[in-house]
Amino acid sequence: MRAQQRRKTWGADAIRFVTGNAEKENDLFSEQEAPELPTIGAALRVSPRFLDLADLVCRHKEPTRYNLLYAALLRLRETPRFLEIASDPLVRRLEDMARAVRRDCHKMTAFVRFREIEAPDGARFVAWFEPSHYIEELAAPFFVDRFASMQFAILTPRTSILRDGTLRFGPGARRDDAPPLGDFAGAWDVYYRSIFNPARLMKRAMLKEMPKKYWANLPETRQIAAMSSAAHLREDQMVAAPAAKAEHGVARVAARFAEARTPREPADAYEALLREAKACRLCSLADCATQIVFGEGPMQARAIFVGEQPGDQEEVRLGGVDEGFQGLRLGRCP
Amino acid sequence: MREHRLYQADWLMRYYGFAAEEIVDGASDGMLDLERDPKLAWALRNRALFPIDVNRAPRETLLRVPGLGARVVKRILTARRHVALRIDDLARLVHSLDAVRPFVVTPDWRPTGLIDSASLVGKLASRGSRQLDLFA
Repeated sequence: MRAQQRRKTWGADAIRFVTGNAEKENDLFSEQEAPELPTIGAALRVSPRFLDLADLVCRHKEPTRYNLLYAALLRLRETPRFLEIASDPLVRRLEDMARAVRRDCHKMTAFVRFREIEAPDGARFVAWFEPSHYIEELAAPFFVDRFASMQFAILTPRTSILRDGTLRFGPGARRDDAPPLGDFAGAWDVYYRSIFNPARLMKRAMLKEMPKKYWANLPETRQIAAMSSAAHLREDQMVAAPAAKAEHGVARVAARFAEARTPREPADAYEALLREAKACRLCSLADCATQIVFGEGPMQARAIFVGEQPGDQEEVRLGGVDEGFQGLRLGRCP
Repeated sequence: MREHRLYQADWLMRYYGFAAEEIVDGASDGMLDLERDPKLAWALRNRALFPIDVNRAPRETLLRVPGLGARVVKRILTARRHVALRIDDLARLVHSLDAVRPFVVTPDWRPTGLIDSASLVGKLASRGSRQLDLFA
């Protein structure tokens, strides 16, 4: 009987992943020696979808994220298409974490505020930001692209994105390391006040787009409370105010428009006939025809040319009798 | 609100396979119901078609269930190839299970009585406040 070599698979609960924050987590294992790692057995294959998901989940602040990913790996071994089971609690958890990371990154691109500092070799820009997850490396390429000609630094508690010629990541910083917004704060206040529409105040939507956790670093949000409470009052004033004087030229355009819309009596029999023809639905041609081709020319003419029927040029594009093939030939006559 | 209902009706025709007649049918004075979204209104008018089995119904039928959007339906279809969806699984997929529950059947859930209840209409009525007219 051949003894079968059983490859040991450590269950999801048997492994503790220790990150760089070990001293903060008061981990007992940090005092023990690390066990000897076994040699790697057969390679594990996963779909690119899992790799993309893992990339994002690793950046989440959740301490147990590696355990969750490892558990997902084990499930993937039995069920290669495990990630398709969107109803599974683990899949749901991982997708939620990935979404939170993406959202945090997106908000970072929206809410970073630079201040300008004069330096001997040109202006530099510094910003202070507090992301919720470990997204600085993910968001940096956006800023490099967007502010391609700027030399800037985005300081966060964990690291700092530094860009002066090259992109690199420095140590974390404190809020005081970034200069205050100064004059810029006033400019942001004015800008925000100007675009604030009291008649369209939707608190839930506003908080969804601009969560309160970012308000500390967005100085213009100091005005929100006051503007919100005054919004109804401003709206009432707007409604009560007399109609504003119409702009120059509006009266003329309105008059022209009104005139064009009022039906008036046909000027003569020709126009009456033209109107009737345009509205004619006596036969099925009315359903597919583009337009009618009416006659043209002086009413007192001594000769009338009657064509057999309009061609495609006349009907579709031009609407005039002389335009198409027959018209061309007529036109050539001396 | 009326504008909102019009957009919803347009969405239904584009992505959910509704015909215009189905949306307008039963509408008083030719206007869309302001209290309920068009999809829910249609489902309440056609209660005989429900409840449907989440694990067996085809895509077009799933799209008709109030509370199941196009993305959720796609996830249901891929997930049910691997597992039989129970009510807890559905809860993790949809935005509001309360909206969906009266109209579906799973191995561990039957909407007994709910679908025929006269008070269903009241329960599912929009809880949102009436939108005020800006220029009253």
